[in-house]
Amino acid sequence: MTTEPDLELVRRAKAGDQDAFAVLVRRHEARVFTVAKGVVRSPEDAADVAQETFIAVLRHLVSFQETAQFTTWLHRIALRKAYDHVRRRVPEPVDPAGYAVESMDARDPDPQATHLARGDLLEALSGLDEGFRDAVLLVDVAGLGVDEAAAALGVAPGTVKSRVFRGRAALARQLGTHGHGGASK
Amino acid sequence: MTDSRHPHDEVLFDFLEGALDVTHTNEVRAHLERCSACAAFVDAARAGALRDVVEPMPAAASERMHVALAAAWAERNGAAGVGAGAAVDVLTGAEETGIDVASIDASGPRSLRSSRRRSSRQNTSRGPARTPRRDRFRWVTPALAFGVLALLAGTSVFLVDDDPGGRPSTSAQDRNASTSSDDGVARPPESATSESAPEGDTSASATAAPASAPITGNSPGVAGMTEEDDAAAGGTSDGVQQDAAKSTATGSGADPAFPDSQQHPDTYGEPVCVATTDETQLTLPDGRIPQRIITAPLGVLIICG
Repeated sequence: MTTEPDLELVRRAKAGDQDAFAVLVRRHEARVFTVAKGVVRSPEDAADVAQETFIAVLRHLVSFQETAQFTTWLHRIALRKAYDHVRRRVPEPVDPAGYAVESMDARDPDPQATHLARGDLLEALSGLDEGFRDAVLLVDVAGLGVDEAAAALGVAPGTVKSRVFRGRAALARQLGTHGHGGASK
Repeated sequence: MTDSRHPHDEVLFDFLEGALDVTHTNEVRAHLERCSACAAFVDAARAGALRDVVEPMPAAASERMHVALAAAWAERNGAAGVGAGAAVDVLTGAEETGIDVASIDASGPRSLRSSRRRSSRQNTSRGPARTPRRDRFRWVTPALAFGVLALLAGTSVFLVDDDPGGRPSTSAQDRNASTSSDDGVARPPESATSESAPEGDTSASATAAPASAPITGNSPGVAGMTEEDDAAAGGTSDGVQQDAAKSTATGSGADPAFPDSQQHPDTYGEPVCVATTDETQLTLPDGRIPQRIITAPLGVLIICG
């Protein structure tokens, strides 16, 4: 995949370059999907949210100000779409062994090794307060910098740091272990 | 920072991220050695830091999304037909996915979940496009036409039931007509026109249907009676034939209760209704003056006499 910066791809896409837009989507779809899943929990719903997010990006690409980070804008849209999805969702029975969940692992290189840990983490994440969850999702999952996340959430960078710090601690407490999550520094 | 003051969360975050300078890093480290509460908090936050949790989007969902995006791109840029297919090729990498782009319309595919759960909630903002409003109302015109016909049929039934004389509603002439088939098998009259309209008007009425087709009260079709219904009512399947034979026994073919009904249809004839849109039509096809004029929807007049 090309290493062309996001903003350059955005410029090309604005000019009508469909390839550039495709590269943008492929580059960010996994993070958008995971961020969405951290809110909506269901992989199917997360896929729907990801699709809605990129459709919205396509529609509003012309109005995107290139002085901002594309990822900030993208994940702000993703979070908004995810919460919209949660608000309008009709509860339905979940079948963890059903077709949809199975199909979600289609691209996972080693589902047995990683699915449980991810599932536990995202499950715990969805149990956090919204402020903590959003900060953790944007910083730890979407990979945004603190300033980007702050811009996306409309709060001060110090607030993001505090929320991420406390959100991480809450996650560890919910998981009941300090070694889970696979990423100690 | 002093020992009595715990570092702010922001500082601890930066400490974990390695974003503090050496001086501040040493200060925090020294504090954590003396403060078990902060140390536990930092340990928890370190353990709760999510790394490598990004999940690849499932292949099927990803392909679906790219197809929807391609369709949205094509729609946005005014591409259609081959252009839309080319857009799909670019965004999906058709060689990799094996998607038959020719089968994809501009609205994109319906997601698996959507097709199972949502009833055609098609909108490009959600991927699949919403059904155009005009398409959703395509059934209105036929439904209105059906409603008018049902109204007319209902009116004719009402008129039959409303027959004040309580006399048989089928004239001998009608019954003769119903039994006049070549094979001698009793059959209901083939059309309302053949039942009651004078012979001279039959062709005209038939060709003007349905707007000016006469509606008679004794049509088996309108009355909803079938041969099976006759049998269930205790009659026979050829009950009409029996009635006709009885009528024929009078020798004149006229209704025995009203022997002159054939000669004076305007006096003794059964009620006939004609649906028309011609406001100037003031007489029935047989020349009688209408006794009732009913205004129906869509400018239809029902003239009864």
